Amino acid sequence: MTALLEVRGLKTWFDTPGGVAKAVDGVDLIVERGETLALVGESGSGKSVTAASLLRLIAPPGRIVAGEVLLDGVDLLKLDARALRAVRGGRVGMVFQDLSALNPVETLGTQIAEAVRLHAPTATRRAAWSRAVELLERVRMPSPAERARDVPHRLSGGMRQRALIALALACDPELLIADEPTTALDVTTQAQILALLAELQADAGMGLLLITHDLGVVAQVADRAAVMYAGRVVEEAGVDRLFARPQHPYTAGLIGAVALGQVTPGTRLPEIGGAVPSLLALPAGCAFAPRCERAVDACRHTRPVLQAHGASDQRSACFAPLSARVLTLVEAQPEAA
Amino acid sequence: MKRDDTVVRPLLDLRGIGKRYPLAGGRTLHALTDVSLHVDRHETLGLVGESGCGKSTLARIAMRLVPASDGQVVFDGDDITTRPRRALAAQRARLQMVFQDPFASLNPRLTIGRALEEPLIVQGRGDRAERRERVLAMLARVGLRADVAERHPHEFSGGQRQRIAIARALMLEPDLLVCDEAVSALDVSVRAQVLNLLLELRASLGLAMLFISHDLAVVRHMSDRVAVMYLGRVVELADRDTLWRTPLHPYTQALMAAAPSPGASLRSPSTAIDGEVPSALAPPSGCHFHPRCAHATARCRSEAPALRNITGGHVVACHLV
Repeated sequence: MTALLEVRGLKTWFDTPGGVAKAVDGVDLIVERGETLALVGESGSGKSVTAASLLRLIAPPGRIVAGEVLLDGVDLLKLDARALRAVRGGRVGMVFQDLSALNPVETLGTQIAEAVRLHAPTATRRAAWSRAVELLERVRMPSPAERARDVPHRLSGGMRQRALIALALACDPELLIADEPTTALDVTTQAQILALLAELQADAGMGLLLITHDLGVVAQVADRAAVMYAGRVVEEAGVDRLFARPQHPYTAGLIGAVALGQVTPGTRLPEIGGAVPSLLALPAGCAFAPRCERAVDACRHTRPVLQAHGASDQRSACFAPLSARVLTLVEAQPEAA
Repeated sequence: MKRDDTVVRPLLDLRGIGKRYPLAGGRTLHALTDVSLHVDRHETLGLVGESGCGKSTLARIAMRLVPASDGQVVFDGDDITTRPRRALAAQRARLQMVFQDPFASLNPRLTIGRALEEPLIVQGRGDRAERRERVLAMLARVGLRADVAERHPHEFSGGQRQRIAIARALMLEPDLLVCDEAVSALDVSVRAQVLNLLLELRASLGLAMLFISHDLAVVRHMSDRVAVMYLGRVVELADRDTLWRTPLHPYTQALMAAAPSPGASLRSPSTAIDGEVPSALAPPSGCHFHPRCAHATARCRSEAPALRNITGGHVVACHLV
């Protein structure tokens, strides 16, 4: 069976005055039906550009240079404009971080009903409206029938994010792409939205591609995670395995850097030295090599490919992958430094 | 809490601070209500809460950047609540702040060297050569190269800019550093670097800190004592280990349950509390938290609970504790 979403060799570059910024430079991903894949990385890693590229939401100076985005085997990068519009908000729904994605002058009900009718033109206005209220109820909007008659600014941040999710669900998407859906929210609200996403995903059997910078969020809702660094996926694995036995030193560093709860308060935290390289001047070999304590000669001149280093479904792009003892190693580092 | 001021005089003592903003239509926004907190010498007090809880307003009042509506700001035994700005120079030097956004808090036109020198000029310290020397020494201290002094803020990443902002805050050798969401805008790998820098500087300079963040894990790592705020009030205050071992206020418990953590039980979405933080314009009656509290009683709806001392220094505002 073909995967719900398969991305192969995706490259999205930006032409800048300083040269070509290779924001996404050869990304492979798979999202199966009913599965949540988290695409995780820090600013500039290319995770959001990857998400935007899937539905070709890239404007100049950006351009998709190479790759395939196969939705059920059909390459979205080759679709004509009309067919692509049918996929956007149809088989593929999107939720963004920016809560202003809602039209400020129209009621929630109108906006959601419009999305319903866009992909089901035969639905009556009345049917589309009651479907909108139904969707608001499904995302646990308090008093959905009344809220449907409200304009967005009357709602709190959490309610707006619920409305955006309802909007994305209007056409029963098979794949939901959520880009930092909880980043703008307070912690207690974030927990509610994450629980909601996990529940909707399980009920509808959707594939969910969750883009996030937050490893805590990954641990809470994802089945698998792909870690991006400087435009490439450096590691991919089931979430439990990724946290327990990261292979790529960058993944291990990231996990160490957020493992605040496991470090004695007030003591030095594990850190990754240095800074993310400029996309305009990426190192010849592994982009992480200049910051990596394990780097060997090969790392500095050859780019490692994403591959399995054993029998598991875990893959990493590293010439010197870490063994199972990684967590102890990472936590021991600061004492030695 | 009664303290003997002659024995241990806190470095910063905020007494019964209130902050009201009058609004059109005769309404009033209560940003802070009767907040009393102190920071001792060499101590870090953490302040945690969600948007609108008043934590940043409190920091600005402590810094005398905005005036308090009620209460007193006492710095090292000296009441500075209403002292005119021009007479504040001595306190300003001892009390410095690092903001969330290093992009906004550095003047884009000044070189880094000049930005770091500025506080020394304002305070009339040293001659030109001495000032330059101290700038270079401070850059080295925060892990930046000397040539940074000749460059401008836009040439640096967020993490480097935050190092620069910390360096500037330390130029006058303050006793107390107020950090308002100082690492919240940073990527996690950079965040660890900056937290380590703050820990190191705190230890070597003997700094006291008021460390403000919405991020529970960060506050826990940095603080000796922690105050939890909700809608303009302190709802719980305890030393760090006590608070994490026995959080008493239902809001503190909810915050801890909601915070995503890679170490927490994988794949089990935390038990979310209902609702969101209400608007400070229309705070709920009684205990502000009661509409979201699973244990709320009639009394919680009508009567605001006062802070009560439970065990030595563990203070909580809840009728049910």
